[in-house]
Amino acid sequence: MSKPTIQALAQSHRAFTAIDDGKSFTVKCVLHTLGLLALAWLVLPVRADFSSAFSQLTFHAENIGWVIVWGGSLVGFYRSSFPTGHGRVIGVVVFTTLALLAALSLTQFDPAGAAHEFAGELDLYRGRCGFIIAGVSVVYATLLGSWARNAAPVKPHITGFYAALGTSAFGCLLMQVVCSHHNPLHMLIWHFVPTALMCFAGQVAGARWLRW
Amino acid sequence: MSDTLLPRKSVEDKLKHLFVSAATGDRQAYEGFLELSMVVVEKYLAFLGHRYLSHQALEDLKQDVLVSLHEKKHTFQVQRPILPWIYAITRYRFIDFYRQQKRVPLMVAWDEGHIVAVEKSLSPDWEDLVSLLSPKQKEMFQMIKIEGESYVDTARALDVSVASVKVGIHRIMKALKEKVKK
Repeated sequence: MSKPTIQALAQSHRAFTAIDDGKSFTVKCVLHTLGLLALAWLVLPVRADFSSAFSQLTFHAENIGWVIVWGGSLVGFYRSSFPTGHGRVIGVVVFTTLALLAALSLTQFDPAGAAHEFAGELDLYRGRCGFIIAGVSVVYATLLGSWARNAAPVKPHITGFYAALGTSAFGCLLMQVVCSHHNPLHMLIWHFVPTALMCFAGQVAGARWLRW
Repeated sequence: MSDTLLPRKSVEDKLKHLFVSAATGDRQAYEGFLELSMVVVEKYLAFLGHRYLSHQALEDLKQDVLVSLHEKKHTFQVQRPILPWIYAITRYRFIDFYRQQKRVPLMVAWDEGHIVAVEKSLSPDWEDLVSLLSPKQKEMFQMIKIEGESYVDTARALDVSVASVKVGIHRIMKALKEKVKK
């Protein structure tokens, strides 16, 4: 019977407040972001061609795209951390933006020099972007995940996915300032693929770590 | 209970009122909230299809839901409706319960058109079923189906090939199914 359980639970009941509202979550996110930005400022060099890139329209379009993916994913993460949270519209916005970012990179694709470019992209130094994106994502997503463990995500894999996507998008945004290689193959291999891998890892980790 | 006859809107309002009072530390209101929630949960479980569960399993599931509502009460945002929150937690626990049941050894019997999951410990025929197996088969069944060991580890422990373990388990399951059908 449930009656004794109800009585026992009621006996242990104390006054409580909701885990979080949107405002305090936003404040936490801003603090995490500022911390990571400060760390990045100390460790990562600004790209040599930053001033010339700053005058290009595509640079700003890409930045806006990554900001939308980052912010949208964090909203999706926050919403999916609660039992009644829905993130369908957010999902559409985030994936459409990702598709536009990929399309924007592909418009600069030159098939003639692809083989030569591909050989260059296999260099580990060029691949540091991928490792930085993954590193930033792991640190940031762990902070978010530790918050979500106190919440009640009913689809923990989705929560983990959004955490990984949002944090990887933040890493990609950071790389806009750090990485001077913006050819489509580089973007695909060392920016988009690590993001996709982190999303997969986030989904798996979320399903295991965020279960309650 | 008269609460079962209340219209949805009234249940929503009553639950929310009790929950808001409970948030301030009112134990009586909290008890009332859990009792009314249980009525809602029972109805929702019926909708989800709890008839496929044995009485004992259903009671376990209800207790799980109750404890989850208690543990996650701080995740309810008061500006939102409360019934979807209860439904979402119940659905999550229901799915989780079924997943756990998959990992626990169950015998599945056909009873008047319904699949009734009979837990090993509750099944009166369990000893009869197991008595069909040879000592080596019992050991194999125990390791694979009860302890959840891999085929490779079981083969190593029993000093047989992996293929023999796979064939052995297949034969054991076939024999048990035939026995259950009889």
